[in-house]
Amino acid sequence: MSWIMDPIEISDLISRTALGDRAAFARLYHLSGPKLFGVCLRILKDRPDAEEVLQEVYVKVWQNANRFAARESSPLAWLAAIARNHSIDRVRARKPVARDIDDVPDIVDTRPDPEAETISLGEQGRIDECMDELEDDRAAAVRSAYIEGYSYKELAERFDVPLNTMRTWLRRSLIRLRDCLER
Amino acid sequence: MTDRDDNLTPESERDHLAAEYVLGVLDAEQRARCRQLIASDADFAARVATWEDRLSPLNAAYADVTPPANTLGAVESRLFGNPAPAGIWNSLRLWRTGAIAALLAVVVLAGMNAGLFGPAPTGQDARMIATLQADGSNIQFAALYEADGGAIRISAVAGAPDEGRDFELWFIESGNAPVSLGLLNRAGATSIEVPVGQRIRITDGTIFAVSHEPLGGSTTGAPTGPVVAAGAIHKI
Repeated sequence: MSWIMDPIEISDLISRTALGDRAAFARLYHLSGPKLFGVCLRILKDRPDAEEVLQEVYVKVWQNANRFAARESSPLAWLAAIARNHSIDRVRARKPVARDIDDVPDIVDTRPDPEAETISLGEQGRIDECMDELEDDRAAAVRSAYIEGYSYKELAERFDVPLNTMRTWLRRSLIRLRDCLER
Repeated sequence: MTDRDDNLTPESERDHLAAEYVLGVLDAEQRARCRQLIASDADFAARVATWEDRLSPLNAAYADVTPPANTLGAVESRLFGNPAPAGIWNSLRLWRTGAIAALLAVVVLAGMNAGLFGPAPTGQDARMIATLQADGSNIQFAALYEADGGAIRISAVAGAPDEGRDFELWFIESGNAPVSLGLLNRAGATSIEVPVGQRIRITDGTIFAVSHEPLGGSTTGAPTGPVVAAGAIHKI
């Protein structure tokens, strides 16, 4: 399953959800739930939290489905953004107690799994090419910021660089990525 | 590396803020400010959307994890209160008055062509019709039910299943789970004989619905795909 989901079907289901079709909403959940739960778990690194956030995500999907129609965007990117934003907001709202890092492998493999890679080779290949143009540690910082939802402060600690250095890394990397992706 | 990125204009600052928001590196206060901007500033919202699309290939790194089984039910409770067992079916607009006249014409015509309209039946609910449609769907069916022989004849007025999928017909007694009546032909009309034991359950007001299923129909005994059309059956 996963991102193998048919974007046209997902778009259609979101549009129907916007019209109040609960069956379409249920189908949308069945197709996208495992992927979005994977997003929540990866960022929150806590199962009960991820379960709760996943519910909030789908409440939001129902409530905001009408905004999707107005927007030209990949439906999967739209769904994933809702899940990422909710998860990151939840993490930021936590008391500043360190995450239980022992539970999580320190260096997480943030490369796409091979199956996923073959799916959207076009886009995927493009962003990988652009990532390859960055220095290795910069690319790793961008990936772990996006995938794990780390803050500047956490990234600075993990990569063992001063906070301002991390800000500069990411600022320059984002500009280079944008320029590369739009070439 | 040039220092063009250090030569900051307000526009590049805005774009960078949008990128930082999407990347997820901001703190809670900055994120709250971004959310306000997204709501009030269309240009900023568009920049965020563009960055979401730009970085979305990175989503491939997220693995699928099966969520707890009760998740959808919990979401539906939060959104709709405690749904009835057949809750998801209730959201469909079941009957459109404007369609009745058109539907009658279609059904009677189809019935005449098929030789269905023989001698007048005797039972009170002997002949019933339904139009099946749904909001957001342009698929439409007309159905005729003859109580005497338990025969349903259903015709697609508009719409066909996607390649590699089938339409499946269901009926729903209020408060009960949908019961499958079988698959519909991909085009034209389908005649279905309702099993004798089920006939008593089909009365004035019973809801018929068509769902979009994998080829060969649902294997779970319940609809798995979206409901593309539904309607209550009524005495002629």
